[in-house]
Order: sequence, then structure tokens, then C-alpha cells
Amino acid sequence: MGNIGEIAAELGAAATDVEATRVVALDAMRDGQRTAQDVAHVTAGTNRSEPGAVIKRLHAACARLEEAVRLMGAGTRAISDYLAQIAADIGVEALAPTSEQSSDRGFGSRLGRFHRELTRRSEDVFDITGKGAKIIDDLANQPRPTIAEVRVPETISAPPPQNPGADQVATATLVVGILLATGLEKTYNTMKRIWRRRRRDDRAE
Amino acid sequence: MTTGLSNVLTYLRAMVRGEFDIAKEALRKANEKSWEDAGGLQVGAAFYLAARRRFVNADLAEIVTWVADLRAQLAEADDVDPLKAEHLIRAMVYQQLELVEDMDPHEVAQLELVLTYRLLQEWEPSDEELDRFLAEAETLAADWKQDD
Repeated sequence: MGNIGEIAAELGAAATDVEATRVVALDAMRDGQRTAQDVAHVTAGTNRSEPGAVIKRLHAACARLEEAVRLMGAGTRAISDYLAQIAADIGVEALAPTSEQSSDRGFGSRLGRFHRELTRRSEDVFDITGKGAKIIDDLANQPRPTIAEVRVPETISAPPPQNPGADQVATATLVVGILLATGLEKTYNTMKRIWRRRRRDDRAE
Repeated sequence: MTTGLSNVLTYLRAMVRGEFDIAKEALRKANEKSWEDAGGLQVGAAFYLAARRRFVNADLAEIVTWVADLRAQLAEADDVDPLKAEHLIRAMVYQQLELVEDMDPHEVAQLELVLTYRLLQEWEPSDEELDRFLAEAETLAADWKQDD
């Protein structure tokens, strides 16, 4: 460890590095460096005391920030948690939380308390895993179509018969009438033939 | 496979991946412990993260439909109480814990287990995504425990 003057000089150099890093990082981003890691690699070349602590910290912070952004994409943890960690890594004071962040933290605390009490009060593990595992087996082993995928069979989905219209009634009446008339005519002719045959037979006797 | 997972999260992971022998063994080990030691807090954390991930922009109708869809896939739909399942999701997503604070703890734990499985099953994460998610749940559960 050097004397106060050396430490001050080191801090001054680090401050200059940080400023240089910031400028180069901005240029790198303008040049289309896509990720924070890319930017960190480019900016590492500007560090006078490679591998300096400042760049190491920035590198770690970038990696953490990337991880945070990726996890945010997956919708998991609040980014404020990661920013707090990054702030701790770099050695700066975290920004004061917004009212929304405070609200999230308040809920997180309540949620934690709720689950701690829940697990303590859940004495019978079989009561949970027994039925739970049965339902999960059901979901895993008997995949059924979702409601959106269910298709009603055509036999069910076919429209029900509707009340006949006047034209359909007229057609049906006409057909029935023709059939009845044809039937009656045939019956009449048959009866007529039988009647004539009988008369001939009577005369012959 | 991720090491250091609680028994119940190991069970859930194996079920999602279709590794039924591992799931059976993890469940057997879980049943030898208390719910807390088997990973009850971790299941709660996993459910919270999964529910927020799935329903972060959802309205009530979407939650109701999702629960109805889940029940439609069960041999016995009554195995899952729809109102309680909806309340549990709303409690996590809309920060309405008052909806579930009076529920039987066994029922909440059981529902969280089932709903978490269904959310993961529906998500179909890659191995890497699933392991990252479960590690996140372990971390959150550890935070909750530390706040004790």
C-alpha cells in the first residue's frame, strides 16, 4: 500500500480512466457494439493500469446488468434488485427507490412473511404432495386438448332441422297426393279386373 | 441438471422434463421431510415468479380462462377449486394477498405446487431456461428465509 499521495494519484488516474471509458463506451455504442460486454471489451483498452480495478468492476457490472436485462425479458426478478447489487459492486450509493419500487419491496416483504407462515403451518407434507402429485400426474400423462383446441364434431355442430317453409309443405303435399292417387288408381284397376273375372265365371256357370 | 435444488423443485423439474424416475425419487425424499424442509418456500417463490411471468399483463378474464382451461384438462375438474386458484394467481400478480390469507395453508401449498407445474409445462422452457428459473426461485426463497 502506498502513501496518501500515491493513493490520491491512483484515484485521480482511475477517475480519468472512468471518464475515458465513458467516452469510448459511448463511441463504441454509436459504432454499433451491441452488448454491454462488447462495450466493456472495447473500453478495457483505454485502461492505463490494466487489469485495473475500475475496469474489472465495470466489466462485472456490465455482465450483471446484461444478466438483469435478460432475466427481465424472462419476466422474473425486479431490475432494481440487480441495480442495487451493481451499485454495491462499483462502490456507489444506490439510487433512492421510487414509490413503485418501495411498493414492490413492501409486497415482497409481505409475500415472504406469508410464505414463511404458510410453510410452518403446513405440517402434513403428504396432504400437499399426495393430491398435488396426483393432479400433476394427470396433467403430465393425460394431455387433453385445451378449450381453444376442442373441435365440436360435425354431427353435433350440424344445424338442427328447421321448421318447414310453405313451399316445402306444398311440395310434400303434392308428392303425397300423387302417391295416394297412383295407389288408389292401381287398387281400383285391380278390383275392376277381379270383378270382371268373377262376372265372366258366373256367366260361364 | 441443476444441483442444490430442494426436493420439491427437483420433483417439478423432473416432471417438466419427463424424467419420471427422478421425479418419483425426489417426491419420496420430500415426503420424508416437513413441507418447509422439502422446499415449501421454494415452491412459493417459483409460483410467484412463474405467475408474474405468465400473467404480468393479463386481465382477470385471462386468468379465469387459464384456470378453466387447466380444469378442462383434468380427469376430475373438481380437483382444482377455480375460485381459489384464481385468487392465488391474483394475489401474486395484482399484489392482493388479502384474497388468500384466510385459505387453508395445505390447500395453498398444494395449489401452488400444481399451478407452478402447469405454468412451467405451458411455458416449455429449454433446460437452460428452466435451470435459470429454478435457481432464481431458490434465491428468492433464500431471501425470504433471511428476512425471518
